[in-house]
Amino acid sequence: MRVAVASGKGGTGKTTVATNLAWVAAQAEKSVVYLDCDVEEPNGQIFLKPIADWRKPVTVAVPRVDPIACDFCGQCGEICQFSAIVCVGQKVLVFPELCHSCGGCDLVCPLSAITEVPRGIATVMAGHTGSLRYFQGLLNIAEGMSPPVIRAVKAEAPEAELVIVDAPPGTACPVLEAVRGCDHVLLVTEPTPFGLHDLELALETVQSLEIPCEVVINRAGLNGSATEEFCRRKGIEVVAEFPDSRRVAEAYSRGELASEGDPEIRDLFRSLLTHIEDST
Amino acid sequence: MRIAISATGTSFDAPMDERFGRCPCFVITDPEGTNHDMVENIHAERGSGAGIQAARLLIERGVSVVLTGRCGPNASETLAAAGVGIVTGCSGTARQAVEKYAAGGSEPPASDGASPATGGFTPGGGRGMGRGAGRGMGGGSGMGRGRGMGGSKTPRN
Repeated sequence: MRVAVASGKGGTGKTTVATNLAWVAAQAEKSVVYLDCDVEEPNGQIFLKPIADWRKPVTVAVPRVDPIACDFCGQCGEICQFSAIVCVGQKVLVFPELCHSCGGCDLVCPLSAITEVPRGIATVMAGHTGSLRYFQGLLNIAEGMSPPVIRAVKAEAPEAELVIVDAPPGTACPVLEAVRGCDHVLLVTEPTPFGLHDLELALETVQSLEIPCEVVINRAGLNGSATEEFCRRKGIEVVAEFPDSRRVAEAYSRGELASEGDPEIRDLFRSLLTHIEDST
Repeated sequence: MRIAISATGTSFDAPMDERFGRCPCFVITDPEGTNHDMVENIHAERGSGAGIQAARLLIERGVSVVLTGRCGPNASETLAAAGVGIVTGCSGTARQAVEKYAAGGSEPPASDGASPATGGFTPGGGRGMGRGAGRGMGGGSGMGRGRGMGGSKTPRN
């Protein structure tokens, strides 16, 4: 079973929920695979503390132009929606960091002057801690193209009783890439106007993929019941509410798992895990 | 010679827009400021590559010098590839920028260091970012060379 932990707003507690859920599942002797797909900032490792044992570079294909074969017709630049390749006079400029690797320029080139060459943009790393397998992608500094890295992380992951995908925040391509193919999505939100606003967007995003999803409210009790009312209206179940707790915040700030040191929190995550298992 | 100024409005007396790629329009004029025209920057709202496309827009109109506040590395590289000079750090209205440029000599206000490509009124501020052939591959010279030299050409395959 693949469960994605996502949110519209950043900082609502995706990683807290994902790591604690993974930990209680591993404690229950299940085979667990954790995929940190927040490849701009993979910080699941801070809490799960895996021992690194494997790594592999992630490359994307970018065009290389043969200046002898090229007659500067400019068709490559016309088809590129990202201005990653442009023809200026008797020159073709390539901006690899804008390239989405669609291969369109190569296809339209009437003189076959374009070849695609690999360009390293990130690293996929793996490690283990107990029965838990940990994978993460990490973009190289100044790189911004995360969907291919997320695909690479997901492609490396073995099957397990529980695969947890820690998605990046937001509602754009990287989130869709992380959530796609999952059996279940947990949308983590905080009960603030910002949290609710972005929950609404995130819900729309996930529903467009037709994946069953439920809501987890973190730091519950902060700000009335607008989030619960929203979920009721949309027919989305709130499957867990984690209290606004100083102990949880302190554990987080020390890089520790709240459920490891706090039996109350552990029980909340155990019931969340049971709920997920029962619902699929 | 045709000079393009990144501007906030269509008039010759409109304040400049210090952004190159995302300014709403360009005022295009001769150095005397007698014949001026305007071109809408239809690429201002593009998600990606606004500066590159704005540069192409001006290249197609035969512009040889751009007066602006700041110009990013991709736009600079595109302009430099066509031999278009870039003057950054300009301010005031489009008219004032052209007058200052035509008078020569006087230095534009120091930029904040974000765009070190060009200092004074020297056309041809190539950044030389050098995304040359074979980046990330075994063969080829991966690193670029030359930074901010007037009229430098970017190594390119």
